[in-house]
Amino acid sequence: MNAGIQSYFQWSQIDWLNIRISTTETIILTIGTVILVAIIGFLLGLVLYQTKSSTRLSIKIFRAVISFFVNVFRSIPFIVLIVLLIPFTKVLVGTIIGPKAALPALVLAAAPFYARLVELGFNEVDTGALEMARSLGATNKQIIWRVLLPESLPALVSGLTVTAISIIGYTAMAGVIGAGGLGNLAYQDGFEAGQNTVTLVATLIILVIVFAFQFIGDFVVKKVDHR
Amino acid sequence: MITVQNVNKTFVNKNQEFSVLHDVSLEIPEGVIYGIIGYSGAGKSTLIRLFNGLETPTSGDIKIDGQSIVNINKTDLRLAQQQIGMVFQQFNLLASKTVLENVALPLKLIGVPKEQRQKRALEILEIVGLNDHDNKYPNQLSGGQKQRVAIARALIRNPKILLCDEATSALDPEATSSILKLLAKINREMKITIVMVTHEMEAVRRICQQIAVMESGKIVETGSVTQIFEHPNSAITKSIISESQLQNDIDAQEVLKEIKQNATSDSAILKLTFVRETVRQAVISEISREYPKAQFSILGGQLQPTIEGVMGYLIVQIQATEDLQEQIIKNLNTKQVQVEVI
Repeated sequence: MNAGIQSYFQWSQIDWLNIRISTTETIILTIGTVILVAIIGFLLGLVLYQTKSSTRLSIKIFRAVISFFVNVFRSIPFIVLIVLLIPFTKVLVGTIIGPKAALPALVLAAAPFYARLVELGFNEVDTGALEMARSLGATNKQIIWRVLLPESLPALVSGLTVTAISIIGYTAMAGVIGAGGLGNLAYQDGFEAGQNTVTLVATLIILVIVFAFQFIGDFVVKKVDHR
Repeated sequence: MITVQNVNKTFVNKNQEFSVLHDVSLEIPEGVIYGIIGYSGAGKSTLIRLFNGLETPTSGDIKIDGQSIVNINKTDLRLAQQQIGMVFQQFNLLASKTVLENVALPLKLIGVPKEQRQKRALEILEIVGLNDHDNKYPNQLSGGQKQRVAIARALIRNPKILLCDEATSALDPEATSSILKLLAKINREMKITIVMVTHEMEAVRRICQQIAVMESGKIVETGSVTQIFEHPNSAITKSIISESQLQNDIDAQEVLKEIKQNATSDSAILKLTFVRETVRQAVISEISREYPKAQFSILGGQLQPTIEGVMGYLIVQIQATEDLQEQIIKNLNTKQVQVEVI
């Protein structure tokens, strides 16, 4: 028991340079994914919102297809999704290892999730505000950028925070199968090499990153929320 | 001038058709404050939404200064919408924008440079009495202040017409009163035609010159405010008027009920409505001198200012034979007093 606990505090096991590299990898991979997911998820969410009340059959079918894919990719367990996407990843980015190889799976898993949150955020916007904009002769584009986006911004930001935290978890999982970063470090240098201290340090750093994202997200929401 | 010609509007919901407006025709002259009144579901909100293209009629036409806004392309509709401001019951301000940004929004949409639109927004905010609030957010304001911001936003493009959809219905009596005064001032000083939809006769009586009364998608009556109050033709108008007059004295109604129950055939309760000159005439003392055999007792009364002058009513009980009662009512009618037996 005592030995077990002590195994977490063997500081000589720690290669700080390695930890710095892994931390940077995780942060870069997370931020890169969050940016892509924010853009793709926003557009998907907008499409879902805009097609919601259409009566045209072609648009209804289009929406059903998008909606179906969003639900499917949201439902596949992430670790299965990575493996499933290996051939596709190889064609798309030319490799199946490293941070770049993790990107397609990360984006495919997180973007649909965020798309639903975006759609929810848009649905929350007061219909009166939209009607007001129409009464002023606003174009659809103006309604989206001048009303829908600013009015739903708090919801979009807090949704992105939740998504980003999921993404940090996903990057760690992707690390296990060779995407680098802290997940990779915890698995290979920590678990496989029997160095519990490395695993502990990697865990703590991941926690710090999660808290940092949460803090930034909450801070931005507070800044933009005037309701 | 707004001309509504034989407008019908049908909504389709789950393959069921709902007819909201039936063959509505209306003329709203330039420069007036025009009230459209009716109970909820009468179709008045749908009607006013046709005026600025928020809804399109199923059939019929709407013209503003002779130009149709129904058979019109999108670009021309946008130009027409610049001439029409709208104020809503729930204010419809953007919570994410400051007061100044909310007011300047209509100018931003047509590409007016920032400095110009902010300058104009500050001017308009002063007109509606909200200087020093430009950097606040809507949720820091009271209901009355929010509606002032909404009015400022509706006015910033110098419209010819201001549409008010239940603009005072979400406000307390004090804020209602100040918003009505502001609307009257806007109409007077900026020469803007105001069309207001409401279910509150009180609001119409205080600032409108002309009224249309609506019931189940039809216009049942139109006329000047005094005409309608003096000679309401339809049952719905009578009910809206008496509701508005008596709604504040439920106690009085109870008392009236009691008196009516105990009344014998030689007594009657009359509601006498006085308009303009007759308000200042000594009608009751004249009539009691002319009919010494009858007893008059005054049960209650009220004075109400309208845009065309003062209007008032008295509830009077007379003790007299039925013959005499009839004579008295006729006599009152010749004195320009409108009599209603309650």
